[in-house]
Amino acid sequence: MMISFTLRTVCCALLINSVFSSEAHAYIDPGSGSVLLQLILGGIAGIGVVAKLYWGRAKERYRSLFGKANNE
Amino acid sequence: MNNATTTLPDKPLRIGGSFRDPSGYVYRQGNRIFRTVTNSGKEQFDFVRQSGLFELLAQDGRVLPFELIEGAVSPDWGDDEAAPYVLEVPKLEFVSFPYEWPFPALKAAALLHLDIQLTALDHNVTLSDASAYNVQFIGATPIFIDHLSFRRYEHGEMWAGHRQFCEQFLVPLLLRSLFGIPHNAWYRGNLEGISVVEFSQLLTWRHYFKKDLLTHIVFQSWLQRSTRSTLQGQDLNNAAVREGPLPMQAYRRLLTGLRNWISSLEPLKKSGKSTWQDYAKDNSYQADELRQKVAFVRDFARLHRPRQLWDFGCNVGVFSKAAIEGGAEYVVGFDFDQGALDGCYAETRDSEMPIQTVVMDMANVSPDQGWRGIEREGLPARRSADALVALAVVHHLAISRNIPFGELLDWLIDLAPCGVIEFVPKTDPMVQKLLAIRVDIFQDYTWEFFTDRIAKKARIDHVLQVGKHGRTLVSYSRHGYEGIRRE
Repeated sequence: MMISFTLRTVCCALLINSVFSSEAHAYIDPGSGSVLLQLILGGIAGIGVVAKLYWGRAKERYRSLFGKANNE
Repeated sequence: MNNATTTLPDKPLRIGGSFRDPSGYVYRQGNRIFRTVTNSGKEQFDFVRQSGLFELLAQDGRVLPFELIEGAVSPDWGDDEAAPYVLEVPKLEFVSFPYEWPFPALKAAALLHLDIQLTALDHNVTLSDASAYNVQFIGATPIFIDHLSFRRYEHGEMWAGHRQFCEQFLVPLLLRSLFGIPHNAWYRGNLEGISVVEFSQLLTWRHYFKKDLLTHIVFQSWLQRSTRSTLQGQDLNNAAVREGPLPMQAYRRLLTGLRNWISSLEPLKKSGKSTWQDYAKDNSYQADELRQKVAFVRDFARLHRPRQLWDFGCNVGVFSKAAIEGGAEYVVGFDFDQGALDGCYAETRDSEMPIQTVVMDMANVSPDQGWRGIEREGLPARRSADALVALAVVHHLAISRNIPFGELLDWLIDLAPCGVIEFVPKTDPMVQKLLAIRVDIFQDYTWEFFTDRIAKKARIDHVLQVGKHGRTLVSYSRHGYEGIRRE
Protein backbone atom coordinates (compact mmCIF):
# COMPACT_ATOMS: atom_id res chain seq x y z
CA MET A 1 0.00 0.00 0.00
CA MET A 2 2.73 2.40 1.07
CA ILE A 3 4.90 1.44 -1.92
CA SER A 4 1.98 2.01 -4.28
CA PHE A 5 1.31 5.41 -2.70
CA THR A 6 4.97 6.39 -3.00
CA LEU A 7 5.00 5.25 -6.63
CA ARG A 8 1.96 7.35 -7.40
CA THR A 9 3.50 10.38 -5.74
CA VAL A 10 6.76 9.98 -7.64
CA CYS A 11 4.93 9.49 -10.93
CA CYS A 12 2.75 12.53 -10.31
CA ALA A 13 5.89 14.55 -9.74
CA LEU A 14 7.35 13.18 -12.97
CA LEU A 15 4.18 14.15 -14.81
CA ILE A 16 4.32 17.67 -13.54
CA ASN A 17 7.94 17.99 -14.53
CA SER A 18 7.32 16.54 -17.93
CA VAL A 19 4.21 18.53 -18.82
CA PHE A 20 6.03 21.80 -18.42
CA SER A 21 8.60 22.16 -21.11
CA SER A 22 10.67 24.55 -19.02
CA GLU A 23 11.37 22.63 -15.83
CA ALA A 24 13.67 25.22 -14.28
CA HIS A 25 10.88 27.78 -14.12
CA ALA A 26 8.01 25.64 -12.88
CA TYR A 27 9.20 26.07 -9.33
CA ILE A 28 5.68 25.78 -7.94
CA ASP A 29 3.53 22.68 -8.00
CA PRO A 30 0.92 23.31 -10.70
CA GLY A 31 -1.35 20.59 -9.28
CA SER A 32 -2.37 17.47 -11.17
CA GLY A 33 -6.04 18.58 -11.22
CA SER A 34 -5.11 21.82 -12.95
CA VAL A 35 -2.83 20.02 -15.43
CA LEU A 36 -5.58 17.57 -16.44
CA LEU A 37 -8.15 20.36 -16.60
CA GLN A 38 -5.94 22.40 -18.92
CA LEU A 39 -5.44 19.35 -21.12
CA ILE A 40 -9.21 19.20 -21.51
CA LEU A 41 -9.52 22.94 -22.08
CA GLY A 42 -6.73 22.71 -24.63
CA GLY A 43 -8.96 21.00 -27.18
CA ILE A 44 -9.97 17.68 -28.64
CA ALA A 45 -6.48 16.17 -28.51
CA GLY A 46 -6.21 16.85 -24.79
CA ILE A 47 -9.72 15.57 -24.11
CA GLY A 48 -8.80 12.38 -25.93
CA VAL A 49 -5.69 11.96 -23.81
CA VAL A 50 -7.58 12.40 -20.56
CA ALA A 51 -10.49 10.18 -21.68
CA LYS A 52 -8.01 7.47 -22.66
CA LEU A 53 -6.36 7.68 -19.25
CA TYR A 54 -9.61 7.19 -17.38
CA TRP A 55 -10.93 4.58 -19.81
CA GLY A 56 -7.74 2.56 -19.48
CA ARG A 57 -7.98 2.68 -15.71
CA ALA A 58 -11.67 1.72 -15.74
CA LYS A 59 -10.96 -1.28 -17.95
CA GLU A 60 -8.16 -2.38 -15.67
CA ARG A 61 -10.42 -2.19 -12.64
CA TYR A 62 -13.15 -4.13 -14.37
CA ARG A 63 -10.67 -6.83 -15.35
CA SER A 64 -9.27 -7.01 -11.86
CA LEU A 65 -12.76 -7.36 -10.38
CA PHE A 66 -13.74 -9.94 -13.02
CA GLY A 67 -10.50 -11.84 -12.40
CA LYS A 68 -11.14 -11.88 -8.67
CA ALA A 69 -14.68 -13.21 -9.23
CA ASN A 70 -13.31 -16.05 -11.33
CA ASN A 71 -10.73 -16.93 -8.72
CA GLU A 72 -13.39 -17.10 -6.10
CA MET B 1 14.34 50.84 -15.16
CA ASN B 2 17.51 52.93 -15.26
CA ASN B 3 20.98 51.62 -14.95
CA ALA B 4 22.67 53.33 -12.07
CA THR B 5 25.88 53.24 -10.15
CA THR B 6 24.82 53.12 -6.54
CA THR B 7 26.78 52.14 -3.50
CA LEU B 8 25.54 48.81 -2.23
CA PRO B 9 25.01 48.41 1.48
CA ASP B 10 27.29 46.01 3.37
CA LYS B 11 24.94 43.56 4.96
CA PRO B 12 21.29 43.84 4.09
CA LEU B 13 18.94 41.21 5.48
CA ARG B 14 17.12 38.78 3.26
CA ILE B 15 13.36 39.19 3.71
CA GLY B 16 11.84 36.18 5.45
CA GLY B 17 9.31 35.47 2.70
CA SER B 18 11.93 35.43 -0.05
CA PHE B 19 13.08 31.84 -0.49
CA ARG B 20 10.84 29.95 -2.92
CA ASP B 21 12.22 30.97 -6.29
CA PRO B 22 15.96 30.45 -6.85
CA SER B 23 15.90 33.10 -9.61
CA GLY B 24 16.59 35.77 -6.99
CA TYR B 25 15.93 37.10 -3.52
CA VAL B 26 14.77 40.27 -1.80
CA TYR B 27 16.86 42.13 0.76
CA ARG B 28 16.18 45.04 3.03
CA GLN B 29 18.43 47.56 4.71
CA GLY B 30 16.78 50.42 6.48
CA ASN B 31 14.58 52.12 3.94
CA ARG B 32 16.18 50.45 0.95
CA ILE B 33 14.88 47.33 -0.78
CA PHE B 34 16.98 45.27 -3.18
CA ARG B 35 16.13 42.33 -5.39
CA THR B 36 18.92 40.13 -6.71
CA VAL B 37 18.76 38.22 -9.97
CA THR B 38 20.85 35.05 -9.65
CA ASN B 39 22.57 33.19 -12.45
CA SER B 40 19.61 30.82 -12.72
CA GLY B 41 17.24 33.73 -13.31
CA LYS B 42 19.50 35.90 -15.46
CA GLU B 43 18.57 34.53 -18.88
CA GLN B 44 14.84 34.91 -18.31
CA PHE B 45 15.25 38.34 -16.75
CA ASP B 46 17.31 39.50 -19.75
CA PHE B 47 14.66 38.22 -22.12
CA VAL B 48 11.83 40.02 -20.35
CA ARG B 49 13.82 43.23 -19.92
CA GLN B 50 14.64 43.30 -23.62
CA SER B 51 10.98 42.71 -24.48
CA GLY B 52 10.14 46.16 -23.08
CA LEU B 53 7.42 44.70 -20.88
CA PHE B 54 8.80 46.05 -17.60
CA GLU B 55 8.81 49.64 -18.91
CA LEU B 56 5.31 49.29 -20.29
CA LEU B 57 3.85 47.88 -17.07
CA ALA B 58 5.77 50.31 -14.85
CA GLN B 59 4.61 53.30 -16.89
CA ASP B 60 0.95 52.59 -16.25
CA GLY B 61 1.61 51.73 -12.61
CA ARG B 62 0.90 48.02 -12.82
CA VAL B 63 4.40 46.86 -11.89
CA LEU B 64 6.80 48.42 -9.39
CA PRO B 65 9.64 50.23 -11.20
CA PHE B 66 13.24 49.28 -10.47
CA GLU B 67 16.72 50.64 -10.85
CA LEU B 68 19.30 48.21 -12.12
CA ILE B 69 22.61 48.34 -10.27
CA GLU B 70 25.48 46.85 -12.20
CA GLY B 71 27.89 44.57 -10.37
CA ALA B 72 27.72 41.38 -8.39
CA VAL B 73 26.41 41.05 -4.88
CA SER B 74 28.95 41.32 -2.16
CA PRO B 75 29.73 37.97 -0.45
CA ASP B 76 28.84 39.70 2.81
CA TRP B 77 25.21 39.48 1.81
CA GLY B 78 25.04 36.01 3.26
CA ASP B 79 25.21 32.46 1.99
CA ASP B 80 23.37 33.19 -1.25
CA GLU B 81 25.25 32.90 -4.51
CA ALA B 82 26.68 36.06 -6.06
CA ALA B 83 24.10 37.62 -8.31
CA PRO B 84 24.82 39.17 -11.69
CA TYR B 85 22.13 41.81 -11.19
CA VAL B 86 20.91 43.81 -8.25
CA LEU B 87 17.72 45.84 -8.61
CA GLU B 88 16.72 48.56 -6.19
CA VAL B 89 12.98 48.99 -5.85
CA PRO B 90 11.00 51.69 -4.03
CA LYS B 91 10.05 50.84 -0.48
CA LEU B 92 6.32 50.39 -0.07
CA GLU B 93 4.53 52.50 2.50
CA PHE B 94 2.82 49.56 4.15
CA VAL B 95 3.18 45.88 3.26
CA SER B 96 -0.06 43.93 3.57
CA PHE B 97 -1.04 40.37 2.82
CA PRO B 98 -4.10 38.91 1.06
CA TYR B 99 -5.61 37.73 4.34
CA GLU B 100 -5.70 41.40 5.35
CA TRP B 101 -7.44 42.68 2.24
CA PRO B 102 -11.13 43.45 2.00
CA PHE B 103 -13.07 41.73 -0.80
CA PRO B 104 -12.80 44.56 -3.38
CA ALA B 105 -9.03 44.81 -2.82
CA LEU B 106 -8.55 41.08 -3.38
CA LYS B 107 -10.74 41.35 -6.48
CA ALA B 108 -8.66 44.28 -7.80
CA ALA B 109 -5.47 42.29 -7.17
CA ALA B 110 -6.88 39.26 -9.02
CA LEU B 111 -7.85 41.38 -12.02
CA LEU B 112 -4.43 43.03 -12.04
CA HIS B 113 -2.77 39.64 -12.11
CA LEU B 114 -4.89 38.47 -15.06
CA ASP B 115 -4.41 41.75 -16.94
CA ILE B 116 -0.64 41.49 -16.52
CA GLN B 117 -0.71 37.88 -17.74
CA LEU B 118 -2.65 38.89 -20.84
CA THR B 119 -0.37 41.86 -21.58
CA ALA B 120 2.69 39.68 -20.97
CA LEU B 121 1.51 37.11 -23.53
CA ASP B 122 1.49 39.87 -26.16
CA HIS B 123 5.22 40.14 -25.49
CA ASN B 124 5.79 36.39 -25.56
CA VAL B 125 6.18 36.47 -21.79
CA THR B 126 4.25 34.67 -19.07
CA LEU B 127 4.22 34.52 -15.28
CA SER B 128 5.82 31.56 -13.55
CA ASP B 129 3.40 31.65 -10.62
CA ALA B 130 0.20 33.30 -9.45
CA SER B 131 0.98 34.18 -5.87
CA ALA B 132 -1.31 36.80 -4.36
CA TYR B 133 1.65 37.87 -2.22
CA ASN B 134 3.22 39.27 -5.42
CA VAL B 135 0.66 42.05 -5.30
CA GLN B 136 0.85 44.96 -2.89
CA PHE B 137 -1.16 48.15 -2.52
CA ILE B 138 -0.38 51.83 -2.79
CA GLY B 139 -3.51 53.38 -1.37
CA ALA B 140 -6.32 51.46 -3.07
CA THR B 141 -4.26 50.69 -6.16
CA PRO B 142 -2.79 47.21 -6.51
CA ILE B 143 0.73 46.90 -7.89
CA PHE B 144 2.73 43.84 -8.92
CA ILE B 145 6.08 43.62 -7.16
CA ASP B 146 7.82 40.43 -8.29
CA HIS B 147 9.93 41.10 -11.39
CA LEU B 148 11.28 37.58 -11.36
CA SER B 149 7.87 36.01 -11.87
CA PHE B 150 8.12 37.03 -15.51
CA ARG B 151 9.69 34.61 -17.97
CA ARG B 152 9.65 33.64 -21.62
CA TYR B 153 6.43 32.01 -22.84
CA GLU B 154 7.10 28.69 -24.52
CA HIS B 155 4.79 27.53 -27.26
CA GLY B 156 2.07 25.20 -26.03
CA GLU B 157 2.90 25.44 -22.35
CA MET B 158 0.19 25.32 -19.72
CA TRP B 159 -0.54 28.00 -17.14
CA ALA B 160 1.67 26.89 -14.28
CA GLY B 161 -0.05 29.22 -11.84
CA HIS B 162 -3.64 28.18 -12.54
CA ARG B 163 -4.17 26.16 -9.37
CA GLN B 164 -2.35 28.79 -7.29
CA PHE B 165 -4.50 31.52 -8.81
CA CYS B 166 -7.63 29.56 -7.95
CA GLU B 167 -6.53 28.98 -4.36
CA GLN B 168 -5.09 32.42 -3.64
CA PHE B 169 -7.56 34.62 -5.51
CA LEU B 170 -10.59 32.86 -6.92
CA VAL B 171 -11.71 30.62 -4.07
CA PRO B 172 -11.31 33.34 -1.40
CA LEU B 173 -13.49 35.64 -3.54
CA LEU B 174 -16.07 32.90 -4.10
CA LEU B 175 -16.31 32.25 -0.38
CA ARG B 176 -17.74 35.71 0.16
CA SER B 177 -19.55 35.90 -3.17
CA LEU B 178 -21.36 32.56 -2.88
CA PHE B 179 -21.68 32.15 0.87
CA GLY B 180 -21.19 35.61 2.36
CA ILE B 181 -18.18 34.39 4.37
CA PRO B 182 -15.12 36.67 4.41
CA HIS B 183 -11.96 34.89 3.27
CA ASN B 184 -9.64 36.50 5.81
CA ALA B 185 -9.69 34.12 8.77
CA TRP B 186 -9.42 30.97 6.65
CA TYR B 187 -6.67 32.52 4.52
CA ARG B 188 -4.71 33.66 7.56
CA GLY B 189 -4.84 30.09 8.83
CA ASN B 190 -3.62 28.70 5.52
CA LEU B 191 -1.14 31.06 3.93
CA GLU B 192 -1.11 29.18 0.61
CA GLY B 193 -4.75 30.04 0.08
CA ILE B 194 -7.97 28.06 0.29
CA SER B 195 -7.78 24.60 -1.23
CA VAL B 196 -9.97 23.97 -4.29
CA VAL B 197 -10.64 20.44 -3.03
CA GLU B 198 -11.78 21.64 0.40
CA PHE B 199 -13.86 24.48 -1.02
CA SER B 200 -15.60 22.19 -3.52
CA GLN B 201 -17.07 20.26 -0.59
CA LEU B 202 -19.14 23.30 0.31
CA LEU B 203 -20.83 23.32 -3.09
CA THR B 204 -24.23 21.78 -3.77
CA TRP B 205 -25.86 20.54 -6.97
CA ARG B 206 -27.23 23.99 -7.84
CA HIS B 207 -23.67 25.32 -8.19
CA TYR B 208 -23.00 22.71 -10.88
CA PHE B 209 -25.13 24.69 -13.33
CA LYS B 210 -22.65 27.57 -13.31
CA LYS B 211 -20.16 26.94 -16.09
CA ASP B 212 -17.13 28.69 -14.58
CA LEU B 213 -17.70 27.18 -11.16
CA LEU B 214 -18.03 23.76 -12.71
CA THR B 215 -14.84 24.17 -14.73
CA HIS B 216 -12.42 25.78 -12.32
CA ILE B 217 -13.65 24.35 -9.05
CA VAL B 218 -15.75 21.20 -9.48
CA PHE B 219 -13.80 19.63 -12.35
CA GLN B 220 -10.42 20.71 -11.08
CA SER B 221 -11.20 19.32 -7.65
CA TRP B 222 -12.53 16.07 -9.09
CA LEU B 223 -9.48 15.65 -11.35
CA GLN B 224 -7.17 16.48 -8.46
CA ARG B 225 -8.80 13.87 -6.24
CA SER B 226 -8.88 11.32 -9.03
CA THR B 227 -5.11 11.40 -9.30
CA ARG B 228 -5.07 10.13 -5.75
CA SER B 229 -7.65 7.41 -6.29
CA THR B 230 -8.73 6.44 -9.82
CA LEU B 231 -5.63 7.23 -11.81
CA GLN B 232 -2.26 5.68 -11.18
CA GLY B 233 1.00 7.55 -11.40
CA GLN B 234 1.90 5.50 -14.49
CA ASP B 235 -1.19 6.86 -16.26
CA LEU B 236 -0.19 10.39 -15.55
CA ASN B 237 3.32 9.81 -16.78
CA ASN B 238 1.89 8.73 -20.11
CA ALA B 239 3.74 10.12 -23.13
CA ALA B 240 0.48 11.45 -24.59
CA VAL B 241 -0.04 13.56 -21.45
CA ARG B 242 3.47 14.88 -21.75
CA GLU B 243 2.78 16.05 -25.28
CA GLY B 244 -0.60 17.62 -24.51
CA PRO B 245 -0.15 21.30 -25.24
CA LEU B 246 -2.37 24.22 -24.33
CA PRO B 247 -2.62 26.33 -27.48
CA MET B 248 -2.05 30.05 -26.99
CA GLN B 249 -5.66 30.73 -27.96
CA ALA B 250 -6.94 28.38 -25.25
CA TYR B 251 -4.50 29.93 -22.74
CA ARG B 252 -5.90 33.37 -23.48
CA ARG B 253 -9.46 32.06 -23.30
CA LEU B 254 -8.70 30.64 -19.88
CA LEU B 255 -7.42 34.02 -18.68
CA THR B 256 -10.15 36.16 -20.24
CA GLY B 257 -12.86 33.77 -19.03
CA LEU B 258 -11.59 34.09 -15.48
CA ARG B 259 -11.26 37.83 -15.87
CA ASN B 260 -14.87 38.24 -16.99
CA TRP B 261 -16.11 35.99 -14.22
CA ILE B 262 -14.14 37.72 -11.45
CA SER B 263 -15.23 41.16 -12.71
CA SER B 264 -18.82 40.12 -12.06
CA LEU B 265 -18.23 38.81 -8.52
CA GLU B 266 -19.66 40.85 -5.65
CA PRO B 267 -20.16 40.07 -1.95
CA LEU B 268 -23.32 38.07 -1.33
CA LYS B 269 -26.17 40.53 -0.71
CA LYS B 270 -28.22 38.01 1.25
CA SER B 271 -25.70 38.17 4.09
CA GLY B 272 -27.14 41.59 4.91
CA LYS B 273 -25.40 44.67 6.14
CA SER B 274 -22.45 44.23 8.44
CA THR B 275 -22.52 45.44 12.03
CA TRP B 276 -20.68 48.71 11.46
CA GLN B 277 -21.44 49.35 7.81
CA ASP B 278 -23.83 52.20 8.55
CA TYR B 279 -22.19 53.21 11.80
CA ALA B 280 -21.10 56.60 10.53
CA LYS B 281 -24.73 57.34 9.62
CA ASP B 282 -26.57 55.57 12.42
CA ASN B 283 -24.53 56.12 15.56
CA SER B 284 -25.53 58.24 18.47
CA TYR B 285 -23.60 61.36 17.61
CA GLN B 286 -25.08 64.19 15.72
CA ALA B 287 -23.77 65.78 12.56
CA ASP B 288 -22.30 68.65 14.55
CA GLU B 289 -20.36 66.26 16.78
CA LEU B 290 -19.02 64.50 13.73
CA ARG B 291 -17.91 67.82 12.25
CA GLN B 292 -16.07 68.68 15.47
CA LYS B 293 -14.31 65.34 15.49
CA VAL B 294 -13.31 65.64 11.85
CA ALA B 295 -11.94 69.13 12.53
CA PHE B 296 -10.01 67.87 15.58
CA VAL B 297 -8.36 65.10 13.54
CA ARG B 298 -7.63 67.49 10.70
CA ASP B 299 -5.98 69.96 13.08
CA PHE B 300 -3.99 67.19 14.70
CA ALA B 301 -2.71 66.03 11.30
CA ARG B 302 -1.95 69.65 10.34
CA LEU B 303 0.13 70.08 13.48
CA HIS B 304 2.12 66.84 13.25
CA ARG B 305 2.09 66.18 9.51
CA PRO B 306 2.85 62.47 10.02
CA ARG B 307 4.37 60.51 7.18
CA GLN B 308 2.16 57.53 8.04
CA LEU B 309 -0.90 57.61 10.25
CA TRP B 310 -2.83 54.55 11.38
CA ASP B 311 -6.58 54.87 11.79
CA PHE B 312 -7.87 52.15 14.10
CA GLY B 313 -11.53 51.29 13.65
CA CYS B 314 -11.48 53.33 10.45
CA ASN B 315 -14.99 52.25 9.43
CA VAL B 316 -15.78 53.96 6.11
CA GLY B 317 -12.73 56.20 6.42
CA VAL B 318 -14.17 59.56 7.52
CA PHE B 319 -11.24 60.30 9.86
CA SER B 320 -8.66 58.79 7.50
CA LYS B 321 -9.81 61.31 4.94
CA ALA B 322 -9.69 64.13 7.50
CA ALA B 323 -6.10 63.17 8.37
CA ILE B 324 -5.05 63.32 4.72
CA GLU B 325 -6.78 66.67 4.30
CA GLY B 326 -4.92 67.93 7.36
CA GLY B 327 -1.49 66.90 6.10
CA ALA B 328 -0.86 63.21 6.80
CA GLU B 329 1.01 61.79 3.83
CA TYR B 330 -0.34 58.24 4.00
CA VAL B 331 -3.04 56.58 6.09
CA VAL B 332 -3.55 52.91 6.85
CA GLY B 333 -7.10 52.28 7.99
CA PHE B 334 -7.72 49.16 10.09
CA ASP B 335 -11.07 47.59 10.82
CA PHE B 336 -12.46 44.09 11.12
CA ASP B 337 -15.84 44.94 9.67
CA GLN B 338 -16.00 43.78 6.06
CA GLY B 339 -18.99 45.86 5.00
CA ALA B 340 -17.47 49.08 6.33
CA LEU B 341 -14.09 48.33 4.74
CA ASP B 342 -15.68 47.51 1.38
CA GLY B 343 -17.14 51.03 1.49
CA CYS B 344 -13.88 52.56 2.68
CA TYR B 345 -11.97 50.86 -0.13
CA ALA B 346 -14.46 52.02 -2.78
CA GLU B 347 -14.34 55.57 -1.43
CA THR B 348 -10.54 55.78 -1.40
CA ARG B 349 -10.29 54.15 -4.84
CA ASP B 350 -12.69 56.72 -6.29
CA SER B 351 -11.13 59.70 -4.51
CA GLU B 352 -7.57 58.42 -5.18
CA MET B 353 -6.57 59.41 -1.67
CA PRO B 354 -3.46 57.70 -0.25
CA ILE B 355 -5.47 55.56 2.15
CA GLN B 356 -4.86 51.81 2.42
CA THR B 357 -7.56 49.64 3.97
CA VAL B 358 -6.60 46.63 6.05
CA VAL B 359 -8.83 43.98 7.61
CA MET B 360 -7.53 43.50 11.13
CA ASP B 361 -8.98 42.98 14.55
CA MET B 362 -7.09 45.15 17.03
CA ALA B 363 -7.54 42.48 19.69
CA ASN B 364 -5.93 39.93 17.38
CA VAL B 365 -3.48 41.64 15.04
CA SER B 366 -1.67 39.64 12.35
CA PRO B 367 1.15 37.62 13.91
CA ASP B 368 4.52 36.57 12.48
CA GLN B 369 3.83 33.32 10.66
CA GLY B 370 4.81 30.98 7.85
CA TRP B 371 8.20 29.36 7.35
CA ARG B 372 10.46 29.88 10.39
CA GLY B 373 7.75 32.15 11.74
CA ILE B 374 9.12 35.06 9.69
CA GLU B 375 7.76 34.43 6.21
CA ARG B 376 4.85 36.82 6.69
CA GLU B 377 5.61 39.46 9.26
CA GLY B 378 3.08 40.34 11.88
CA LEU B 379 1.90 43.90 12.37
CA PRO B 380 4.43 44.82 15.10
CA ALA B 381 7.39 43.61 12.99
CA ARG B 382 6.37 45.48 9.85
CA ARG B 383 6.72 49.04 10.99
CA SER B 384 5.33 51.42 13.55
CA ALA B 385 3.05 54.36 12.92
CA ASP B 386 4.14 58.00 13.02
CA ALA B 387 0.74 58.88 14.41
CA LEU B 388 -2.53 57.17 15.18
CA VAL B 389 -6.20 57.90 15.44
CA ALA B 390 -8.44 55.64 17.55
CA LEU B 391 -11.89 57.15 17.60
CA ALA B 392 -14.95 55.33 18.91
CA VAL B 393 -12.90 52.20 19.34
CA VAL B 394 -11.35 51.82 22.81
CA HIS B 395 -14.70 51.23 24.54
CA HIS B 396 -15.39 48.31 22.22
CA LEU B 397 -12.03 46.73 23.00
CA ALA B 398 -12.13 47.47 26.73
CA ILE B 399 -15.75 46.48 27.34
CA SER B 400 -16.85 44.11 24.56
CA ARG B 401 -13.53 42.30 24.40
CA ASN B 402 -12.43 42.62 28.05
CA ILE B 403 -9.03 44.06 27.06
CA PRO B 404 -7.54 45.63 30.23
CA PHE B 405 -8.02 49.37 29.76
CA GLY B 406 -4.54 50.33 30.96
CA GLU B 407 -2.83 47.77 28.73
CA LEU B 408 -4.85 48.99 25.77
CA LEU B 409 -3.80 52.62 26.30
CA ASP B 410 -0.15 51.60 26.79
CA TRP B 411 -0.27 49.53 23.60
CA LEU B 412 -1.66 52.42 21.57
CA ILE B 413 0.88 54.92 22.85
CA ASP B 414 3.72 52.44 22.23
CA LEU B 415 2.55 52.06 18.63
CA ALA B 416 2.73 55.74 17.72
CA PRO B 417 4.51 58.72 19.30
CA CYS B 418 1.47 60.93 18.87
CA GLY B 419 -2.18 60.36 18.32
CA VAL B 420 -5.81 61.02 19.03
CA ILE B 421 -7.84 58.70 21.27
CA GLU B 422 -11.52 59.07 22.01
CA PHE B 423 -12.89 58.32 25.47
CA VAL B 424 -16.54 57.28 25.50
CA PRO B 425 -17.93 57.37 29.07
CA LYS B 426 -20.33 54.88 30.59
CA THR B 427 -23.10 57.48 30.32
CA ASP B 428 -22.96 57.27 26.54
CA PRO B 429 -25.81 55.26 24.94
CA MET B 430 -23.35 53.11 23.02
CA VAL B 431 -21.49 52.03 26.16
CA GLN B 432 -24.79 51.52 27.97
CA LYS B 433 -25.80 49.22 25.16
CA LEU B 434 -22.57 47.25 25.55
CA LEU B 435 -23.21 46.91 29.28
CA ALA B 436 -26.96 46.28 29.00
CA ILE B 437 -26.90 42.51 29.40
CA ARG B 438 -23.68 41.96 31.30
CA VAL B 439 -22.17 42.75 34.66
CA ASP B 440 -20.10 45.94 34.78
CA ILE B 441 -16.70 44.64 35.85
CA PHE B 442 -14.89 47.61 34.36
CA GLN B 443 -14.03 49.67 37.42
CA ASP B 444 -10.96 51.17 35.69
CA TYR B 445 -13.03 52.46 32.82
CA THR B 446 -13.21 56.09 33.95
CA TRP B 447 -12.08 59.45 32.63
CA GLU B 448 -9.63 59.81 35.54
CA PHE B 449 -8.00 56.45 34.86
CA PHE B 450 -7.89 57.23 31.13
CA THR B 451 -6.06 60.54 31.55
CA ASP B 452 -3.78 59.30 34.37
CA ARG B 453 -2.71 56.29 32.33
CA ILE B 454 -1.97 58.36 29.23
CA ALA B 455 -0.03 60.86 31.36
CA LYS B 456 2.37 58.09 32.45
CA LYS B 457 3.67 57.70 28.91
CA ALA B 458 2.65 60.88 27.15
CA ARG B 459 1.68 64.50 27.41
CA ILE B 460 -1.93 65.39 26.78
CA ASP B 461 -1.88 68.16 24.20
CA HIS B 462 -5.51 68.91 23.45
CA VAL B 463 -8.86 67.86 24.85
CA LEU B 464 -12.23 68.30 23.19
CA GLN B 465 -15.57 67.18 24.56
CA VAL B 466 -18.19 66.59 21.90
CA GLY B 467 -21.91 66.13 22.39
CA LYS B 468 -24.03 65.84 25.47
CA HIS B 469 -22.94 62.37 26.60
CA GLY B 470 -19.37 63.27 27.45
CA ARG B 471 -17.47 61.73 24.55
CA THR B 472 -14.02 63.31 24.68
CA LEU B 473 -11.14 63.42 22.23
CA VAL B 474 -7.60 63.60 23.55
CA SER B 475 -4.47 64.17 21.52
CA TYR B 476 -1.18 63.07 23.05
CA SER B 477 2.55 63.27 22.39
CA ARG B 478 4.72 60.56 23.89
CA HIS B 479 7.27 61.74 26.47
CA GLY B 480 10.54 62.53 24.77
CA TYR B 481 8.95 62.78 21.36
CA GLU B 482 10.47 65.71 19.51
CA GLY B 483 9.31 64.92 16.04
CA ILE B 484 6.47 67.36 15.70
CA ARG B 485 6.77 69.22 12.45
CA ARG B 486 5.09 72.53 13.11
CA GLU B 487 4.01 74.85 10.36
